[in-house]
Amino acid sequence: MPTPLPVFADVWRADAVDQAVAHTLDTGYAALNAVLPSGGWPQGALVEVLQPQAGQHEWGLVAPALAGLQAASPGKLLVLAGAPCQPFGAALAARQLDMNRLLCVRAARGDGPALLWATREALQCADVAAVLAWLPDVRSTHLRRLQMAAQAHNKLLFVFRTPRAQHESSPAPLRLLVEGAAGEAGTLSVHVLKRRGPPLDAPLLLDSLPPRLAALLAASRERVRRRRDELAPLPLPLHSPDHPVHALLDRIAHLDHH
Amino acid sequence: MRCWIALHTSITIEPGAGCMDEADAQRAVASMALGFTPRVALLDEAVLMDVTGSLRLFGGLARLMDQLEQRLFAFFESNQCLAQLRRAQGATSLIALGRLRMKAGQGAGPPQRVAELPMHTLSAARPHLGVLERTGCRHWDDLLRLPRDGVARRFGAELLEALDRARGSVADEYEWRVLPEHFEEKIELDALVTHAPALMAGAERLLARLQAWLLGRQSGLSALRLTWHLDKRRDVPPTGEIEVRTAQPAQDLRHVARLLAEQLAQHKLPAPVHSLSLRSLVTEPLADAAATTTSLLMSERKQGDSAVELIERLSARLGEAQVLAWQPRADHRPEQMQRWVPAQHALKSIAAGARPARARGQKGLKLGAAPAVRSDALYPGWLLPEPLKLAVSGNSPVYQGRLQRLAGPQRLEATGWLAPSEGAYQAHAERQVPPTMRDYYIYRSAQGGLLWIYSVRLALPVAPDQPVLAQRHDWYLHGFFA
Repeated sequence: MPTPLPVFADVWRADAVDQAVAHTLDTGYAALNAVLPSGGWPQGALVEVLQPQAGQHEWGLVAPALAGLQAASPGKLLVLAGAPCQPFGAALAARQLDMNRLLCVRAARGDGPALLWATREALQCADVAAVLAWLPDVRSTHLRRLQMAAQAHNKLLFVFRTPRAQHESSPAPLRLLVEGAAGEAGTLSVHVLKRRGPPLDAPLLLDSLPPRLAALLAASRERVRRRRDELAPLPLPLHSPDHPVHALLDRIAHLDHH
Repeated sequence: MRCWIALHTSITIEPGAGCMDEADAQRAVASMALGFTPRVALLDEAVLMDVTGSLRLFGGLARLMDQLEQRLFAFFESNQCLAQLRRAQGATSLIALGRLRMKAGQGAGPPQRVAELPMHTLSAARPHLGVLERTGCRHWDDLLRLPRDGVARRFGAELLEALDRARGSVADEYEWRVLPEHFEEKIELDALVTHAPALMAGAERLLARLQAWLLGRQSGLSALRLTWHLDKRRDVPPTGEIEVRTAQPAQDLRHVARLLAEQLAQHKLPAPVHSLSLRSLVTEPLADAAATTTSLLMSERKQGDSAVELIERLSARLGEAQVLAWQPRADHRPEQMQRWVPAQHALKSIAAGARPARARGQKGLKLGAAPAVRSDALYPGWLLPEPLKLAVSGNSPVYQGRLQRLAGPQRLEATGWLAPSEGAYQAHAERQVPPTMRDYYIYRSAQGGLLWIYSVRLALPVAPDQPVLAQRHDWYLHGFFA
């Protein structure tokens, strides 16, 4: 019988999810918390998020955590480096983000080094709580430097890249692939590509829309369904082989109406 | 009894890193000593300071010396110099100086009695050392025992005067050092400089002097101007200059130096530069300067830069227009609801937000003035700066594949849609642009993202007999629900 291995706090066994990450931050989604090491976004580490197109799913994924972080650390800035579009204040305020503490850093098109530099400077700043960086063509060595800066200054850092990077090696301890989903269960499907734990087979489905928007979409879906029902009444199943009696009754009922 | 301190710094010059020589260091020490007492003088190789009046304020001689030493060491360390500091204390300036010279000769020993100080520690006796030695005058006391008339005839009146001054029977007055109201210094560069970033070496020497000046005046710097003087033989303007401004007055000039380096990196020199001058434009007194710069507690020391420093550095390198902060506006048109302004101009509000404890006093007043943040979950998280015109297939828009309409329309009345401001709106009205309406829809793209798309139509029918609905629609993509 093999003797059980001694348990150390800083030794992670590959068949279990690492529970010894020092600082984590609630993601705002219970399903996501359950699969991440120590139950949340790792603070002081690089989180790499791959998505097909920049500007599609960022806020839904990270806004709950950022709102919590902003509430917990008053007076700290949130820095966006190389954001794909303008963040829209009205919508983000509805997600409980404090827009006055948001700093947007842009760079000339194709000036990747400037963005990298700005990201690293922001990580080194004492008054910054989290950094979101869109670095589509960053190299692995640069990511390693960002990861070290995030670790040294204990900052929350998200780097958004394209799925092309999936097959490159990455120093990030957590990598996610995010896609939109059309299902009723959720609008965001998250594949955990890499984590300190066994690989995850099925993607997670998160309902990332704000409640009001979700309600609006559900209501209009309902309305469309009802209108379709009204406009196209049930076709009369004249040749229904298995339920002749029902078909007959239906027919009679319709005749009655007219 | 008065209390004098004599200070001497010797710089151990490292190859390549010598940004200061001994004379520079002496002047810097004198400037910083002025932060402790107004009675500071330079004599030969030493800095003399009369701290009698300041002892109570600083809590005694020992504490005053501790603070002074800490400040000096911090200063030399920040300028990457290795400095050795010697100090001596005495009842008159010449006793302090004599003891200082004794220490230099034999290292640290027990404090000498005044009477036993050797003759060579008195500057006035130095021309006559040989004669004094041969007449048996080795110590100050020996000379004092000789008849005054004879001493005056043999050695001149200066020696007697110096002795009287050392004994305290003559007033101990010097020409006190005064720091000028504005710092302005010019240095000749060692060699002609053709690359703007290479000016930084000279600028650092000037900044070190500026820092000593700031410490002496107990103030912080908010703006400075660096001017370079170009070779006159070229057909170019004789000087060029840059100004650097910071939002928070600073005594530690490392941040200013970095800003200066960023700005210099973007400059091109039209001709070689032979000298540099630096002038302080705006300084502000820092009341608690001594408290902030000398604390050794880790909690007092800041880890990393502040938000203001970050914004200034990013703006200096990337350009002001690339570092943006958010401002709400009271408008119902999505483009006009917010504005992204250069963060450097919004520094005040950001700094107030980043340091809430400091700004709490004025917060109550300001809250009413700021427009309320309008929040609505039905707006998209990303807004395209310019609406993107979409291709149309049939009667519906196309964006990276077929789209599925989820919700809408939400109609926004849109007179003057395209007008960025009121004045421009007038211009539009004159050009007879008809008012338009936008119907906003939420579509789902083939990739699963939610898009905010609107169609434009004219509010009034173009021809009276043509119904509004029959017009052809243009479709625009205006945002992403991320």
